[in-house]
Amino acid sequence: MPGDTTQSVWNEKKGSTAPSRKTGRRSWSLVSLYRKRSVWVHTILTIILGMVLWQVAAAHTSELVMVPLGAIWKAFLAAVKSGQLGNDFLASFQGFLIGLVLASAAGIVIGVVMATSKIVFDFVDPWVSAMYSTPLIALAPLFIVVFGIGLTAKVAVVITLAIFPVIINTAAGIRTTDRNLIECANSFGADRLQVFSKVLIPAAVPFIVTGLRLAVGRGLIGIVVAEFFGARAGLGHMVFNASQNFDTAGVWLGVFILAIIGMTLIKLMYRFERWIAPWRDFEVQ
Amino acid sequence: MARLRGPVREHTTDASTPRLEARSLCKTFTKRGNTLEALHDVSFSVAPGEFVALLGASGCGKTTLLRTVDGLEPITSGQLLINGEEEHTPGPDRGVVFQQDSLFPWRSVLKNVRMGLEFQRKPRKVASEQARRYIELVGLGGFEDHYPHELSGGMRQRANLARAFCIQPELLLMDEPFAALDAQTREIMQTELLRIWAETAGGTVLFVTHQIDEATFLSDRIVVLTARPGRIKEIVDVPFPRPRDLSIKRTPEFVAIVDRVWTMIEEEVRTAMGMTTSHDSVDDLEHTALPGNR
Repeated sequence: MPGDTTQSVWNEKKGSTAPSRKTGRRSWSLVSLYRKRSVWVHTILTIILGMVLWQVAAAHTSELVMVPLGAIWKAFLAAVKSGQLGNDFLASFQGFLIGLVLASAAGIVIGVVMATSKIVFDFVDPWVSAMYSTPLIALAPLFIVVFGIGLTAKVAVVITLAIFPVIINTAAGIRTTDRNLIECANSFGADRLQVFSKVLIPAAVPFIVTGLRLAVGRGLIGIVVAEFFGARAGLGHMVFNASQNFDTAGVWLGVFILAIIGMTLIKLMYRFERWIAPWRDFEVQ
Repeated sequence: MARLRGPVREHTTDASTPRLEARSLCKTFTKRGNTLEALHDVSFSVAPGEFVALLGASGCGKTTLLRTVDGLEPITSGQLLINGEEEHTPGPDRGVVFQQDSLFPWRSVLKNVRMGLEFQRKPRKVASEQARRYIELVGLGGFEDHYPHELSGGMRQRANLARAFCIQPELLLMDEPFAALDAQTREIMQTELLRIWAETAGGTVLFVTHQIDEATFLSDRIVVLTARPGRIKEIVDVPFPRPRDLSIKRTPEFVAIVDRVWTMIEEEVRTAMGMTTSHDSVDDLEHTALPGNR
């Protein structure tokens, strides 16, 4: 607490002699810096530790499996310079984004319809549950057969993977809306449309965003696998090509870039969740 | 301060028409073939501007009765008249303060309070202005943009009161609004409720509670219900002049009424608890004003 900090610093100034005060304050503020920023300190430390372990492991394994970080870095610079990395990134990102947007929109609509109509729910839910728990990624080669090599197939694979968590979470969010709130709205004279738009949808928003976060993770897998099976560009294509050419550094470069993209997106989605439903953190605790 | 009430809806009925009248009201729940009679032959009326408490042991159907009045629950037989007319659905003429926390967590205090007006499709600006006045009135000025989870239990119930008062209902229905509050906060909220009620030129209030001293302190009349199925045991007049403050709770007259109601209801509580002759302490009815309880 800021108030406490100034108070104790002030007390220390008054109560101690000059030299000890100086050292005392410095160590104290280092400790407080660590306390405030401990997450960052730990994150940096664990990354350094991971890099050291990597180098040690790379020195003791075949070059076909692991290469030193320096080689990956060189591959990165070369890929950036040639413009290949930029191309692959954009190709993947395009397919991913289009797929994710379509999956989100359709998933929310389907989830809402399922949650508001019991008949639709009864008919659709078994299929949705089955398809959510099946590794539909196995169907990726079929999509390539149907849509050919290119954007359409990628988008189709992304949608197939990403849509189900959105549907399930949207429907669950609406169906688990607090009965008391619906009743309260009814009692204040809300009509059906108002109950829907001012109670059910806002109550489901945190669930929907959670579904979107899951969709991001699955969509990323979808785009990479789709590009494995057939693509002319993209990060998955890059990884696949590199592995075919025994270019281990290239494989790892692709994997690292995908990992960084995935982590960043998931973190952003968490932020988005907290921003869109600030009350929910509190309720969970 | 009548200015807060704004235009009162006009009625063709004359002033002697009760705001609320229940005639031989019965309510039966049917669940998986089993029937449960919640209310049996309940008849009473509430005059315009009157503050009536509905008192009874847990499970006696007092909340059910309130819900039928609000139109959330259909009645099985009998008649329910509001301003002399049968009403079966919720309407803007009735405002409810619920027992549980029914504020919308994603809405700020201001947006919660103006909710009823929004549902009536009042212009947002008008609704907000009116909501601000009631937020001020319940003593939550400055907390308009806070979310419910940032408020204490007492403040949340103030917001709840403001929301119900804000639609300027002719009939205010309150379902144990202070039950979840600690004893001190509850007493403060009771006086606050009377103050707000007086300042809004006193709509008609139907207040459900299981606390005898709360019913006695707040109301003009106490409708005492029996154990399930709820029937009217007796209707007790509470003759204290208004405005009232907490000091009346220590007067012998107050204690006498609490005692009288307690003896009336004690047997009902035992029945509700499945006890017949035992003299164990009864926790369900808090009756702090009883001499033996000090």
